[in-house]
Amino acid sequence: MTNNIFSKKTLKYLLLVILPAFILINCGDSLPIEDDLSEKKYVLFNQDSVEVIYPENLKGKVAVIGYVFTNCPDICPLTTNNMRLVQEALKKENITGVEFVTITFDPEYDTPSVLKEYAEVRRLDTSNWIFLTGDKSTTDQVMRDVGVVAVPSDSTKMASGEMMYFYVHTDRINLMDKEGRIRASYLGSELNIEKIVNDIKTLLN
Amino acid sequence: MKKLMIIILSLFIFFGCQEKKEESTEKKESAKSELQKAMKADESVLQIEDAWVRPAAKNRNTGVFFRVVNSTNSNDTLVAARSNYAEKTEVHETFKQGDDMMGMREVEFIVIEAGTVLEFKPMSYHVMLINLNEELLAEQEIELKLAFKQAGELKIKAKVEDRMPKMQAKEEKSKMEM
Repeated sequence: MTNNIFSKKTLKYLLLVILPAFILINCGDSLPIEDDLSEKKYVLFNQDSVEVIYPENLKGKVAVIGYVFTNCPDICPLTTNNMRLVQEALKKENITGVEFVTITFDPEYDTPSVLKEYAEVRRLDTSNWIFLTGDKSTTDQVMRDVGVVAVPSDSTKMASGEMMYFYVHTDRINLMDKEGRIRASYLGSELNIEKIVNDIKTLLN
Repeated sequence: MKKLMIIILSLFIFFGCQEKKEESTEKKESAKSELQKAMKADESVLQIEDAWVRPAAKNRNTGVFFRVVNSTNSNDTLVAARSNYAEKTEVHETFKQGDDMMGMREVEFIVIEAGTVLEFKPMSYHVMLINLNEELLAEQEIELKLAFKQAGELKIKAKVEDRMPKMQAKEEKSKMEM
């Protein structure tokens, strides 16, 4: 008798909890919209000082976006290096239609030429990778709209009398779909390359 | 049905725990052997190993990373770093704030305890070269000095490389082996 009751309970549990959970996990949207930038038109400039309307000019492509400041010695180089690894992984699989975008949150320091040097010194492949800067109020707005925080914290005084600030900042890489909507966020410095490549494939299909 | 569920659950817990236990023992053994290997090199002096620095453009900043092996019987303290390659050379640490915020700050000194190995590595301690006098490109080598309370000033050479943290490097290696 007890066994029969237990079996019924188990069956009910299976039907009511496990089955819907299974359906939700497997059939639900694995990359929900996190931030919709599809209507935004931020005026930014790439490493060659060419105007880029972001994300308008990227529409039709899936974009991998990293947020950095070039004076960062540790976390931002890791983010950039991870983006390079993603770019290489996609090349190996002959996957096209993906653009890489690095946006600075320190535009007063990170001018187009500074961003160009940043890419060159790391020997990055800029055939599908742009580095964006712009007016501080514009880059600040971009950061606010995607929830990236960058606060000047530690600083050091240079011989010139100029102060150099180091930021406490969000460690982030975003994935944007072809319509300009943010569909995933990852830790920039600790990116799982396999996972983001699979997510890119999902957005490309 | 009840018995079946109990058996499956017990097996699941047993194997789950077993795997974690093995993993933890493996990690401990690996760390121990790494330390022993490093200690064998020279037991009388402080040693700096595997130094590397990230590439960077002129007037920018970069980080230098290395391993300090203290196989002596006394603690030592890193108190300063010096380099001719930058306007300023400071000892820094990267820190995490909340779930996804990262920052960096200067540290005045770092103690390397007797019989231990301390890694200056990405997302942790590093020597910061601020306002580089020249660009640093991959394959170049730079010299810098580390000042310790006991060992005095040690001159080291660091190769310009763009490495990833160990964990990821291991993942990449295992993928390549597959």
